Formats: sequence, structure tokens, C-alpha cells
Amino acid sequence: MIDHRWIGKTYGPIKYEVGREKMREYAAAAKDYRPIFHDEEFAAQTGYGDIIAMPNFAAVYALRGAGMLLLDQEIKLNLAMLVHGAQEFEWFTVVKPNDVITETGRVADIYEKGNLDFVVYEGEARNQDGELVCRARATFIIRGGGA
Amino acid sequence: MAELCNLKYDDVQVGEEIPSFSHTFDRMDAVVYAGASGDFNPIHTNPFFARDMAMLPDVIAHGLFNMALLGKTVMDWIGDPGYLKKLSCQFRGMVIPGETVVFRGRVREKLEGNLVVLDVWAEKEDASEVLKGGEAVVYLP
Repeated sequence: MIDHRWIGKTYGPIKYEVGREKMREYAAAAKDYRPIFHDEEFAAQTGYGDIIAMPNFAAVYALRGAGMLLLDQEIKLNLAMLVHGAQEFEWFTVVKPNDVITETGRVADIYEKGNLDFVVYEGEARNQDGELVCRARATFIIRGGGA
Repeated sequence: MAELCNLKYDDVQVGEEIPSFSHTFDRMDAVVYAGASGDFNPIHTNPFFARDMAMLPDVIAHGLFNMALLGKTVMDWIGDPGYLKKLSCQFRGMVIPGETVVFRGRVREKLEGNLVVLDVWAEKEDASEVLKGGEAVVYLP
């Protein structure tokens, strides 16, 4: 069982500078070649004006605190028994090249079900204008009793 | 101005299935995704580690890679990625190289404010679950 006193522990703020080629690289890795993710000339003719990041790119800019949680030496999760059980992303605006994203994260919940321990991480990502970009909620499952 | 979305909220029917997307997982997909995402866990890229250290049958696809393909499937339907408001799923089955996964969605509900809720999921050809209990919320003009 993982100590419930870690609920509410925070991570960050963590800064992420969005690079044009990194946006393209992520979309291509996800087999998504639509022009709005890759082609500036096409994007210039849309309301966006420039290429936008594939929404799932939030896996890169909105879950960095989750990586810190997994390696947190105070909580000491048993990584050998840990799996990523569920993921939720909610988006509020698009991400463009050179955006500077700041993520703040927290341990949103810790609970048990049978022999499984659950740890829920919530990250909130804002851009350089303070606009909310994405909320990410990751549920990790640790088999056979957590920490 | 080029419009990216050709769908209209009024034309969408509850119960309607969106076009599915099928992908056969190749071990290079995981190497490329590791580089793009920064997730270098060797269970996704190193078959010796996956088999001998993690007791897996082979390397397995990143869960977030499968989820990205699920997102692509929904975005192929709506056309404008900026209209994808929410995506969630549970990671259930492992995918090893050579396995084909089909990504699917079905309209569950139409909400006020031009929002449409879909059930989304992914399964292998033998119908075993890969992504389960997923939900997508999209805006349609």
C-alpha cells in the first residue's frame, strides 16, 4: 500500500519550449501526416496561420511531472510492477511552434482495489500567455502492493 | 481560408460509427515513437530486455503510441485537430510486432454547444482489447 499522505504532493513548474521539428516528429511517429501538422504553407491558409501540434503531443509537454513522480525517491513506487493503466487529455487551445509551456502537476489520488494500488497524476499545462492548454490525468497501477 | 472540418453537427447521428483505422505494429514504430516522445523504456525497444528482464513475449508498443493512433482516427473523422476537446482510454492489451490493431469509434451522445461524445476503443483482429473504455469529445460546427 502506498502512503496516502502523498496525495496533493506537487511537481513543477516545469517549462517546455515547443520546437517546430519536434512537433512534426511526434505527429510522424504517430503516423499522422496531415498537412496542418507539417506544412507551413498549407497552415498559412487556415485560421491557425502556422502548423499546430498533434493534440497527443501533450504526452510530451503535459506529463513531465509524471516522470518525476515515477522516480520520486520519497514515494519510491515499485517501477518493476508499475503499468500505465489509463490516460485522459483535455485540450483548451492549440499548441504552435515556439510556445513556452509550463506544467504544474500533483498527485491527485492514491487508492487500492484488491491487490492493486492506484496512483493518479494530474498535470496542468499553460502557455506563455497564461492560457490553459491541456489537463492531463494519468493513472498508474502497481501490482502486488505499491511502494 | 481553408476549412479543415467538413462535418456538421446537425448531420451526425447517435450510434453512427466513424471510419476505423488499422495499423500493423512494427518494432521500428516503437523506436521512432521513443525518440519522438522521450519515453526510452527498453521494454518498448530492446527485445532482449523485454524477454529476459521484463518476461514479455517481445517488445510492446507504447500505450501512448496506441492512444495517439486512436486520436488520429478521431481527427481523420473531424478533419480539424483543434476540434478534439478530450480523449481518454484505459490501456488493456499489449501489442507485439506483427500484430494488427483496429482503432474504432461510435457516436454516443450529442450535447449542447455543438459537442459530440464518442465511445472509442482499439482491438486486435481476434477482438482482444487493446484500448478500452475510451471517450472522445469533439466540437463540430
